[in-house]
Amino acid sequence: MKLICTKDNLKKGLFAVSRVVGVGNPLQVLNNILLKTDQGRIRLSSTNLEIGVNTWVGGKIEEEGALTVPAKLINEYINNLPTEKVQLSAKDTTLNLISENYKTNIKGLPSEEFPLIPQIAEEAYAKIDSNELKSALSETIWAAAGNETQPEISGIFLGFSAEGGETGKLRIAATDRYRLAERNAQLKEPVKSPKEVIVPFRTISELFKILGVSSGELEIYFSETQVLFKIDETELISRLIDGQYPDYQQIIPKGFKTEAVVSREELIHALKATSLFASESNNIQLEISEGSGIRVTASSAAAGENETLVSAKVSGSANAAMFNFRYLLDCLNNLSETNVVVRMISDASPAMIQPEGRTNYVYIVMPIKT
Amino acid sequence: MTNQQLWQAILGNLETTLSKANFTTWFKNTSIIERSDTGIVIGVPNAFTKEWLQNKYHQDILKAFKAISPEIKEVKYQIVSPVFTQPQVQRETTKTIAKRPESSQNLNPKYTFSAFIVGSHNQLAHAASIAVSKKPGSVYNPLFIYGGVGLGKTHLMQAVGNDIVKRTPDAKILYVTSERFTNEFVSALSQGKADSFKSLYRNVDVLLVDDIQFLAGREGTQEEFFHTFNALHQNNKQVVMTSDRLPKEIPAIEERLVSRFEWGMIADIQAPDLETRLAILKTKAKEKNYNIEQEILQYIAETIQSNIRELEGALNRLMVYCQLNNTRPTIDQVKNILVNIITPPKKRGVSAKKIIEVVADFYNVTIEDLLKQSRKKEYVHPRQIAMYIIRKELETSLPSIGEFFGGRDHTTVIHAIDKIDRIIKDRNGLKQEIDLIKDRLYVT
Repeated sequence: MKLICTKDNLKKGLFAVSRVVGVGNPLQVLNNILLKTDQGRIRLSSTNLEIGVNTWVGGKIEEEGALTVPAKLINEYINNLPTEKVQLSAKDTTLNLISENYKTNIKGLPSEEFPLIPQIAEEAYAKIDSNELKSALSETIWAAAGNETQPEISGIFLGFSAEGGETGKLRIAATDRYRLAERNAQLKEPVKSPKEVIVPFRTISELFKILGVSSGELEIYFSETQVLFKIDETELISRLIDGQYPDYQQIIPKGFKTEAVVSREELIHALKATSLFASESNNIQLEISEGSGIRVTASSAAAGENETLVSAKVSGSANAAMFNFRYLLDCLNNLSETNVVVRMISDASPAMIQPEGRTNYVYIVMPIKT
Repeated sequence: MTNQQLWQAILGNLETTLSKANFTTWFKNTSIIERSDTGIVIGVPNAFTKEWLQNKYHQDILKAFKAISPEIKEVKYQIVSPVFTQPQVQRETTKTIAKRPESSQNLNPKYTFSAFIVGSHNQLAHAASIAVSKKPGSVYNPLFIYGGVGLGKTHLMQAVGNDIVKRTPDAKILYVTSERFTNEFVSALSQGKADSFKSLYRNVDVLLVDDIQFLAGREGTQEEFFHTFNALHQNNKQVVMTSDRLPKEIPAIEERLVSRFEWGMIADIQAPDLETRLAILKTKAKEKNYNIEQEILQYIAETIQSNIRELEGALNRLMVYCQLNNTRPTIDQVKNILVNIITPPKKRGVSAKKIIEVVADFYNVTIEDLLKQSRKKEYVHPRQIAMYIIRKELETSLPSIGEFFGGRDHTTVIHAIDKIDRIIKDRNGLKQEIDLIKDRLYVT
């Protein structure tokens, strides 16, 4: 293998693949990235046997070939190169990089040992604008359960439905049983048949990072147990979580007793200030009443107590409940609207946060019972 | 050959030709999921494994089948996801979103007197518990039950609670472990809710505290418990406690608490005798509707001697194994299945003579060499090792060990044991050497 590539191209390719490595796996080659010449371009691949990434970058190929090298090492090395072009050549299992006054040899492993990344041959199931998906993911995925004791809710729910008129609808949801975030996104065209899947959190978070440096249209492919996301020159393939996602829509309340429209920024400030006085369990009290707006209070034996009044447009009866302030901030920090709507029923029923004037997003959070 | 056995044989064959990392990565969680006369379908955990086996190892796998089961001509691969989900349970979790049921009693209804098997080893504790549950607060207050791990202390204590609930359903009964008592006390203090903590514990009719020995060294909690105890005792409310040792023997616990623990009734639970163990096994087997030969129960009861929990564990393991394989176990199979839980049949059949034989064999010297009066280095070391092991394993007296080794003085034996002890500390290798010898001793 012998080729010349710009540093920026290589860097971009490495960004997409270098995180998906099999740390801790006895198979050494999983820590490596596969570099392979592929029809006039260079293919970079990595996998941890759960997720696989392929990305193609342009370059001048002088001699075909393939080799694997440690992901971390080559990624950091290329990131630290101040030069513009890099010449890569492989001799046996050593990768030789020459760039102006920088010369290095990286020890690798033969490409034959590198896992074969499965392919999905069928045609694209759905297409979505990358910015639409990026914004939808940013508002939801952090609500997923962190641990994997319940595999279903450790992942992100994607529900494709044929409804939604001309465009087709994608429902994205994440929950950890104490809170739930749901966002409806627009597809480019209707899907042929509805489909519901659970994608591992790790996969979605990799996808989110890749979306951050891409633009244009994302294509989604499915096989029975796998999903493939394809954008620009990058493919991300992953297993799906097998199981039934909880039927969460039944816990979204149909009606509320209290509704307050409040400035998002002001509510964030109040929560952050008050959170300093929340006890170890992160509990703070929200009281909504027509006269005073939203009263945010917390007290702890050690720190003292705090009360902040946030003006709000309130309708309905007065209401109060205790919440984990982190759960509220997670949602507020990830919205971009000026105002949000807070809705409540009682101190034991779920409360709802929605951005003002937008109905494609709901956030449900359970109060803490004392 | 069952599918499992066949696949194990194939894996054994493949293992020899592949590196360990490759083997564990690609053959983990694989199995035979379908088998016909000439074809096999192998279940693999993910698409990566499927691709790899299909493209890289297919020939090797076929070859292995050819060697072991030549009629197989075709091998296919299919992704099967590991089964760890039960949809029904998930539905329920959404309904009970954020609900954490809190029962103040914490009593497990499974623990009743009728499910408790009485033998000579626990007669006293059982009788005292029955008396307490009939007249809580008036006969033995407090009741202090102690005994080793897995002998039924918690069972008896909860049975007292359950029995009282049955008699007077509105009695306020509180079961806590001392661990939980401590935690609640600490969090009550930090939240400034000490009053509600006090009123919770001081207004019960029966307080059951499990594993009281864990209060050791926690002075603040001990004081709180002391006051709680006094308040309850003064009002003739029943207190029952369990511990793994006598009150006196609990270290770092205040004298005034010890004297209070000893106030009422102290009942001990000993390890059950063989007949009782057998009776327990029979009852458990019957409870679970599980038919099993007398001979096998006898074997379990004989080998697991000190712990009822292990006894039950062994039975459960056996049941699961039989259900999975759909067989009735023979005594030899049982030995195999239970080999992990059964502690090695200690010391049985091991004599000083046996130890000398094994040591001599291990160091490749004769028994005479060990016994005769020779100070050659190659004999002295094994001799000292043998003395050491005899002392540690059989606790034979020093003079009789000396006697055994051709009438040596007991101080010679002391020297040998001290020396080995010292070397063990300095040199890790010797410890392994001795462990190896011990293994040989108990295996054969």
